[in-house]
Amino acid sequence: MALKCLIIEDDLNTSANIKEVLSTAFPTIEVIGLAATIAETQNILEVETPDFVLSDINLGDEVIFDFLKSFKKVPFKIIFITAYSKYAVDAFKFSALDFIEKPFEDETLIAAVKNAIANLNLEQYHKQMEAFFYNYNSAQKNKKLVLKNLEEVHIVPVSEILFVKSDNNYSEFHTTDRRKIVVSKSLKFYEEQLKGYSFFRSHQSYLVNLNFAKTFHKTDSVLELTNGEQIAVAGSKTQVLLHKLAQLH
Amino acid sequence: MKNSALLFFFFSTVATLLAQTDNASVDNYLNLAKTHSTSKQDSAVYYSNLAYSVALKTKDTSLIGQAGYFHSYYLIQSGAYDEAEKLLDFNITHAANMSDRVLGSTHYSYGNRYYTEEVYDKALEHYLQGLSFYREANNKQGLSRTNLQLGVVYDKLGKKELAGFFYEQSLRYSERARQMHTTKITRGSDSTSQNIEVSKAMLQELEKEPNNRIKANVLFNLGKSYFEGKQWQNAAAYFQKSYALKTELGVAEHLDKNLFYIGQSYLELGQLESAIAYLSLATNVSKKRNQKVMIETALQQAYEKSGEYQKALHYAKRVTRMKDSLNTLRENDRIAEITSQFETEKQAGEIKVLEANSLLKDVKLNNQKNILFAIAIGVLLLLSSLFFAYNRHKTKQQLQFSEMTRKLLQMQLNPHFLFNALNGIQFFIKQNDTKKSSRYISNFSGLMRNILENSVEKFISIEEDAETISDFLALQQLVHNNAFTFSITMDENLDPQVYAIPPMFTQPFVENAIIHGVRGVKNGHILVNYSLEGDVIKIEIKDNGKGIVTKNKDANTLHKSMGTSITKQRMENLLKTENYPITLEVVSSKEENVDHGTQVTLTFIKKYI
Repeated sequence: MALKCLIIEDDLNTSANIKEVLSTAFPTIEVIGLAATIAETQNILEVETPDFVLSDINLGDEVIFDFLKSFKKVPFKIIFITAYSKYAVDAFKFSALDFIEKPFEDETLIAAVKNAIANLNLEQYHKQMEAFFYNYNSAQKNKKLVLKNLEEVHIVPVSEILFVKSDNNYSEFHTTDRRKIVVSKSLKFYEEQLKGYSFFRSHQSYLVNLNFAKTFHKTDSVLELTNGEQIAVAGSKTQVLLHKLAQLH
Repeated sequence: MKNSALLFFFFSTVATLLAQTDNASVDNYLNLAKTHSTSKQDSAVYYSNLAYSVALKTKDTSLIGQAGYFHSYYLIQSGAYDEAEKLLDFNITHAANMSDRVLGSTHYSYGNRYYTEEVYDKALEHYLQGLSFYREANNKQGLSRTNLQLGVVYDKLGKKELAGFFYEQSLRYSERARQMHTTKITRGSDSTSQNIEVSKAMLQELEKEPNNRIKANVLFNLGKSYFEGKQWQNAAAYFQKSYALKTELGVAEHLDKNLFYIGQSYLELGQLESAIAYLSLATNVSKKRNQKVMIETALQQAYEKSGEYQKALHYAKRVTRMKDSLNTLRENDRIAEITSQFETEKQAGEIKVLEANSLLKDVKLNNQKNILFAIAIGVLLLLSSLFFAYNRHKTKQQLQFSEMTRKLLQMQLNPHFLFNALNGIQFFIKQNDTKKSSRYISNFSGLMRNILENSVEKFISIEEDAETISDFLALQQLVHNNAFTFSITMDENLDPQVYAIPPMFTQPFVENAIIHGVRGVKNGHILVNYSLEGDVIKIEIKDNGKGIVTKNKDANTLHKSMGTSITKQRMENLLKTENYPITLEVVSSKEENVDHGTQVTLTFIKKYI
């Protein structure tokens, strides 16, 4: 069964290029149309329903998000394309949405499409979209992190994460409401993502939210959190931790 | 005389037996001398001499000293200075054996001796020495009279303040001194008529008594009062009476002065012959230099008036010589020295009082100092805070400028546009269109270079600005798939290499012309024209697009609004800091749904690079 794909891009050269790359790399994908504006997009969607969409964010004066908000549940997966939009990129990352940045290599495009079509289940997708809109429009400190595994999509406000524990290539999130969420992404990935927040990599296996730090037991090299949880602190991190704790309040 | 000789004999014999009787005899003689002193000067000297002789025989230095002092006292009054001096010197050389009282008296007498001769420096010296001995002996009488004499001397020297001080001191020791003081004070005061009355009353009182020194003095005072009252006739009469009485009593004291006043009175009366006679007598008698000067000055005047110029000149010369004599000068120096010495002592006492006062003042002064200090600190603080405020203001301005430069750069380097441009270039590379790829890369690098270089300049040439706009428009064309055309024109009278404008003023308006003008419009065209009109440089950016609308919050609109706000801010800043005004005119029209596009006109003052 062929997968239907819609390309929304106001730069005709780019959309032509994308179409060519797709048809070469994925014989099973059928490009159902090239739209340059939202109006053109609507026209196409009236006739057909794509399995996934490749969409530029800025279409002339228009922004694709305005159009996407009109759906209660977006009926297709989207790979966003952007030339530059720091806010959007940050929001994509937090919401675990697929995106590529211009100018891009053919391989980047191919990898993004592969990843998207691997799971076209839309059951939880609207949650992700909601989180995205929330993150895109809200102030930086109140972001919501989308944690996605095979079974579920969890939306966790950053301010409610107690700590993240590493287990091989999995990351285990512990939240204030006592949830434990396991995600198949490395701790390193989240450490990067949560930079600029009050998270601290206290140990090879721990990323801890210092907002919940209660006591630091120097002798045991253990950081006690407000919920009583004990977090290991590597000897080499002691000084940095003390410095950060002093800065905190 | 025989009587006294017998007495002398009697006492001297007894004196060999008993020192006690010697003492008594000495006292006796001295009492005799005292009783005669007011009437008969000679007798007083005689008796005191007897007392002295008796004292000598006892070989009691203390008694000798005492008697010697009394004897010298009378000797001085009768004008036998040399003899008196010997006795006094004896006392001084045997000071070790003398009581403080005798020594005080000795110096007092010495002072009197010099005072009568008007040798004031020496007089002061002795009086002051006498004073210290009397103080040791706690002799009130001595203290009183010595202080009084010191007051008189300083009065004569014109040092009224010091004189007053000694008069005060004197009064502390004696009631009698108070009386003497008052008479001394009334003397010389201006109530002449009152003085005359007092003197006359005193004279009447003295009528009943035999002639004595006091009567002579009162007569003299009366004369002086008349003299001061310019009643020359009366003055002359009383001075003469006083003189006659003094000669009768054998009083040598102030004879010269008396004679001088008689002469002076006659001089005033115009009786020159009598005047000259008395004055001549006076100058012969007088041993006092100052008195002599006065006498001879009067003599000179008298001779002058009587037409005897030769003699007048003679006395004039003498007077000047006396006046200028080194002695006088020395004496004045000595007086000053002694006075200052005394004053130091006196001040030492006062210093203590002053110290207490100054301590009080110090406290006050310290308070004032503290207040002054506080004020100074306050002023300093104010100044420094002003300085820091100014500095802060300056840094704030600098910060604002650099912040603006940064924003400007960000605005020029619109990342959305740049990445889109790169995306466009990448497309041509993929297409193997080397010609276009290479052209756009050079546009891209040209734009980058200009933006980076120009952002730090305050002014750039028109040529540079036009180049930047050209690269920019070429890349925009690429991004927008050649959806519009553009042209950049330059008026012939405008030399683009000569004139200058601030950088990055044109670009935001050109960008707006694309995004809000020609984008999505068929046959869109953008015209940028540089021209020189009189004193201004004009840049027109014209498009045939949609006119100004849109409210979308995409990256581009955000960017655009930032662009215009920064441009406005820059315009304000340039006006403030460089006095460089820029005007902006935007004309956008829609008539009967027909777009006429937008025309932006920037006007700059003509400026050379």
